Amino acid sequence: MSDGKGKEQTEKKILAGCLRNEERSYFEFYDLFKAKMYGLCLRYAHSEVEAQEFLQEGFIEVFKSLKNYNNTGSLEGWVRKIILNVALQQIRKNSRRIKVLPLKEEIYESVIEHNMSDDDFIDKKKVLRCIQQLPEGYRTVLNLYAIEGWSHKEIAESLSISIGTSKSQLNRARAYLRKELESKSVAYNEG
Amino acid sequence: MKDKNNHIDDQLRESIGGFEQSPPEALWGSINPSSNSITVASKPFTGLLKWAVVFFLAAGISYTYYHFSSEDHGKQTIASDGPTENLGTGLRSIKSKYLIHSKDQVVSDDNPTYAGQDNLPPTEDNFASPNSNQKTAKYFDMDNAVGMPINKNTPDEPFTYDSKENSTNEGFPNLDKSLFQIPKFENLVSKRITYFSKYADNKTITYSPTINQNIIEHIPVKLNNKQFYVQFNLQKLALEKLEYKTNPQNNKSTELEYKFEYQDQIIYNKVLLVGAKFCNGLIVESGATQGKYYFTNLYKGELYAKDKEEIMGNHNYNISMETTNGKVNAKIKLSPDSSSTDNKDKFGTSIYMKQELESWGLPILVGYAKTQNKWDLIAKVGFDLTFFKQRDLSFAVEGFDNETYRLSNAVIDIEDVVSSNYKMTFAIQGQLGVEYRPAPRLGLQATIGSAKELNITTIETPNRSWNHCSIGLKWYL
Repeated sequence: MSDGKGKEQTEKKILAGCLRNEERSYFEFYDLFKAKMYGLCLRYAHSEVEAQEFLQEGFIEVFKSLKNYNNTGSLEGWVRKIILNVALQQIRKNSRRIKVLPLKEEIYESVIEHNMSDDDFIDKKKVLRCIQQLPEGYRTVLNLYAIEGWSHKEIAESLSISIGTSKSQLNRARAYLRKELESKSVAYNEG
Repeated sequence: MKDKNNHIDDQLRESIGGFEQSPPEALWGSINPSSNSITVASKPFTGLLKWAVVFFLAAGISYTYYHFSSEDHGKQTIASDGPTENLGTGLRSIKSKYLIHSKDQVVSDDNPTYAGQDNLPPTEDNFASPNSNQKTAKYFDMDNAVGMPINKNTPDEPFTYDSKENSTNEGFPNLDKSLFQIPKFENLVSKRITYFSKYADNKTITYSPTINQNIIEHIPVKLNNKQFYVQFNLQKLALEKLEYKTNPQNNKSTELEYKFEYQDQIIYNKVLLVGAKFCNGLIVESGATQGKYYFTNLYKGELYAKDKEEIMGNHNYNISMETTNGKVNAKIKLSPDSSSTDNKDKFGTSIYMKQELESWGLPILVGYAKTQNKWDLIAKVGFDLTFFKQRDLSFAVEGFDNETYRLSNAVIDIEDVVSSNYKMTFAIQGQLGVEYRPAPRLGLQATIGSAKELNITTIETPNRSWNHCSIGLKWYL
């Protein structure tokens, strides 16, 4: 409890410093959230470079909006929301690049019934790499649904796609992920 | 299956939902608000500043309104610091340093002097109204006019087309560009694109000027189950910037830079299109602003002098021009025939800087025209037929009389292109674009496809003149 209060106090202090245009406070603010937010961006980006772009644009937006933060809810949640929005914006902007790569049916069928073991998810970096290798549309929907907990309706609205598309993208993303994890596991085990 | 999926989702969330990783340190440099001019905190005086801006804006608008509504607008005088003063206001401001303003003026690049400062140049407001009662110049002796060559080199890349396989241009053939023997329009087209971009989407050009009731702008035609619109656009472009420069390196090439912008409210025959960069070339033109334009030219520094006779019946103008070492230092003296009894001011004289767009073959004129004791800024292009389609296909100019630059019964004919049944014929009759009066006539016939015809009857615009005309064709696939 006291830790939570202490954290809150620290955040408030840093926030106040930012609003006074103190460079040191900016850095402290960034330092406070950078790892979590970068992790978030890595999940939505197909590469580290893109994740850095998301993070950069996201934090710039966060700093621009700091004065609008009204101290309700957690600061981290607020920052996360902005950065996620920026990432989605960028993804939408690059939507021409999104290619829905239909999984070959035979592959789809072969992996759809594949039972994933919990071990498959132990290596976080491996999972992340697999996520990053998903086609952009799959990756985004999977992230939003499975991790952020968005509904298909919310996803559809946010990405300007239909609910059906969101659902099918999710299913295919899962199948694709299974396949990727499987192949990575094989490679890992063989290696 | 649902359970399986939930399991995967749970695993995924657990595995990477809270994934953390530090970004590269260098990234902070591009985020740091202190080095990115990001305003985080509200600054004091922001409100005050905002109101100050509003105040000044309002003041500026009021002044502009007052200025333009004033009767004196357009009668600016050259300031005491010499003829480099900007003339006119707003978009049509013009640097007068190298332009010739009145018959008594001697203007050079180095030492522009002004013998008289009356009849100063102009803004569009000085232009005669299309309905004003001005005389029309008679025909000039075309046989003796000095012309400029039209470059008819085959362009390297006149248009860009998709290959047939990849063409998304349903219903339209792929054109073999090698069949086009027309000048390069690259820059002009790019200007056009700039100009039209805000009206254009992927498939159509929806430029809809409201010019006057006498002009038919859109003619819907059903063709091959596709809806066609042929639109005739009389363009009203305001000259925004006109600057005449001499290249200090060799004193030979000169450039007239221009900038233009579409102005919705400008009466269309006042300010015309300028569409090119200028270099050497000087045109002297005689004729009323509402008469036919005929001109002779001084081109690339050659000495040229010509007497014009029988213009307007009773006037002789002696026009002499001098150049030194190819430099466009022009001394121009226009003197009315002493035997003339007419009021010379009823007769318009125009002096133009002229540059043929060598790569395009378009005669572009910029200068001043004197009509009824007023000097008006003139900028005009001969004629441009622009055929818009999805990829901004443009072509023009064939058919110009390369002696006089009059467009006379010009025909632009592109047919039997490649193996398709694509045939298009544009026949333009009259002297569109190089005359003010009588009203031009435009006859357009376009045949597209083997048996499909698109016929547009002659369009007459009585008592109207066209400065520039472009024809756009849009369709819906």
